[in-house]
Amino acid sequence: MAKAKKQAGPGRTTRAGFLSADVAGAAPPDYVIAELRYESPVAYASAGFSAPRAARPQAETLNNVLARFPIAAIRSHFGLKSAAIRERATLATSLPAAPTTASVAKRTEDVAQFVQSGFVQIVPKRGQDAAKLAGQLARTSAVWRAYVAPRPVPASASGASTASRNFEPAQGYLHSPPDGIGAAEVWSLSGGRGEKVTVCDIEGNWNRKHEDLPRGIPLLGGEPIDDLGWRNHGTAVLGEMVSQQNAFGTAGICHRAQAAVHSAMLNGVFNTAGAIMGAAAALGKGDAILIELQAPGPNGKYVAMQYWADIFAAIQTATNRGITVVEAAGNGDENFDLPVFQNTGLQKDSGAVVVGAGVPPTNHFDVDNGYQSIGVPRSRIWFSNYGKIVNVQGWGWHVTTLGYGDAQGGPSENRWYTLRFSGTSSASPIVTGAVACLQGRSKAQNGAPLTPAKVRQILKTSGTPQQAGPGVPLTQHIGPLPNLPRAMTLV
Amino acid sequence: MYPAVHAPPGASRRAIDLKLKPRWRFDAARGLFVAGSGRTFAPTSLPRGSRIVYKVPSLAATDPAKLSGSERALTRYMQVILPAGGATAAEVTAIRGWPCVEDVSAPPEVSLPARP
Repeated sequence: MAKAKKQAGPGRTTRAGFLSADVAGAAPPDYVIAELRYESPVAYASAGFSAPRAARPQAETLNNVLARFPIAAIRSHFGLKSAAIRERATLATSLPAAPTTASVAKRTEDVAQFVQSGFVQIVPKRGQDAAKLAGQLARTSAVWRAYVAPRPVPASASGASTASRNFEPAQGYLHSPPDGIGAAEVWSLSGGRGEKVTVCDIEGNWNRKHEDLPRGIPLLGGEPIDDLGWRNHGTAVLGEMVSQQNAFGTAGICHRAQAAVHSAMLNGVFNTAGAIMGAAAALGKGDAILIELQAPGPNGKYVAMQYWADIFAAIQTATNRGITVVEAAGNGDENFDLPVFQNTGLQKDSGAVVVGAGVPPTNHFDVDNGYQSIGVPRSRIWFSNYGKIVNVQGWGWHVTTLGYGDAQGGPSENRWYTLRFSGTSSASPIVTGAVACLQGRSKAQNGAPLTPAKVRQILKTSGTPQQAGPGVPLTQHIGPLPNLPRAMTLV
Repeated sequence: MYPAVHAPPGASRRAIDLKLKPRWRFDAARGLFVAGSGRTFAPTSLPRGSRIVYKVPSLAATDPAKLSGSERALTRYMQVILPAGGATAAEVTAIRGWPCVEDVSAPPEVSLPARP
């Protein structure tokens, strides 16, 4: 007798994420989310905005905007209590002129609460006023940005056509150094978004139909591996680099670069050297290849792919052709400077930019168990490989990007997002994105790209230095985190 | 050890990596290895359905004089792709005995450097 198939319906957790129950009854009202500037010492309550004497004009301006519309409610978007909102206003008065999360962290241990307390939910009585209200609030000096909240999406099998959420605020790696690589700071520069550069990701599969990826990313060669884990991984990697800057999803570091992919599976077997050369044949000077693979070395721990001589030669060849090769160091907690690696690719220069996994500064948006630090920012994460050939680091923990579905799930993979992409896997696309921004800038400013050696030198010399942490001294070298604003001055 | 994303079972065929001795090449049309001296070697010890391929065929087809040092190095790497079956130990031992081969190894067990 055929076994009845268990249905994955609303209210169940599936591999795709939680499928919410259908929303019944009247449609929820449109409302506005206003994000207060860190340095604006403005508090709020159901009656409106308030501020200490020196900042009272800011509060009055906001209240003047509110007075133009019938308002149903004003409250914390994250449901924080009034004490937290008052604390926020007090802390804001002590911040410098252009504060960052780092300057906030110097003044409070609970950075996450400070950040969340700046999100104000304003519900107009008439839904049609929401867009106008958002526009007027956005023009006030106390507000960084204001927008109409996306309507809740019932993630049921019947599907929904409303837009996905905006995850860009959770992409801390875009932020200014020392926390992030400063990508958002250099986007205003001509070429600074990776224009006229192609980045090719070498691994095994991708969801190239994801809603937040550019259309028509070509598969340059190889055979995709039909597996959800591999597809999520490739999608997450592409998302960090080229997800589109729009009102939903994430924004890639080099979101104006062209993307391409090449599978490492050729003739039914892994052939990484063949994939590198296949990608190199389709690329030109100034472009970049990302190798998102690892394999066990002689100690049984995962190592970088350039350990194998054919792959080393392929990287050298691509680099000699002016293509910057970025390579994940691997998650083996392995020391590449050990004698066992003498005369192997792990103690020779292939020309690649080899990337280790560093600790990110904070996880503001990981609220499962409250915020927990995994180490000193920019110190080596315990699993990252290290050694002299590891040149730079990227965030190796809880990177927000496309795929997996833990941040936004639902029946369609095309709308999945994650807050938890980790490993040298998440670190390497951050560096590749930085490479594309540098090369785009060089092409725009100098009319020619940089050599791969120059790109690597700039990343190393301009980066925000690695830090030591408990059990992870600086001798366990993974190099600095790219600092794009500083790097751009060297192009 | 930190977990990794491995290829699903059956995703990859069995294969053996090999490196040719200098001045040897593979003539795919005749199924023979050919030395610069003109000596030939016909591999006969492989199971039915096996294939011998260059890792970078485009370079192998190019005049060596037009290749850079690293490109010439790449032309020496090949793969023996085997039909479905068990372990490759017997084939590795057999290939080690070929006169054209400098080195033989199992290919790297490739995975993705992230949690599943």
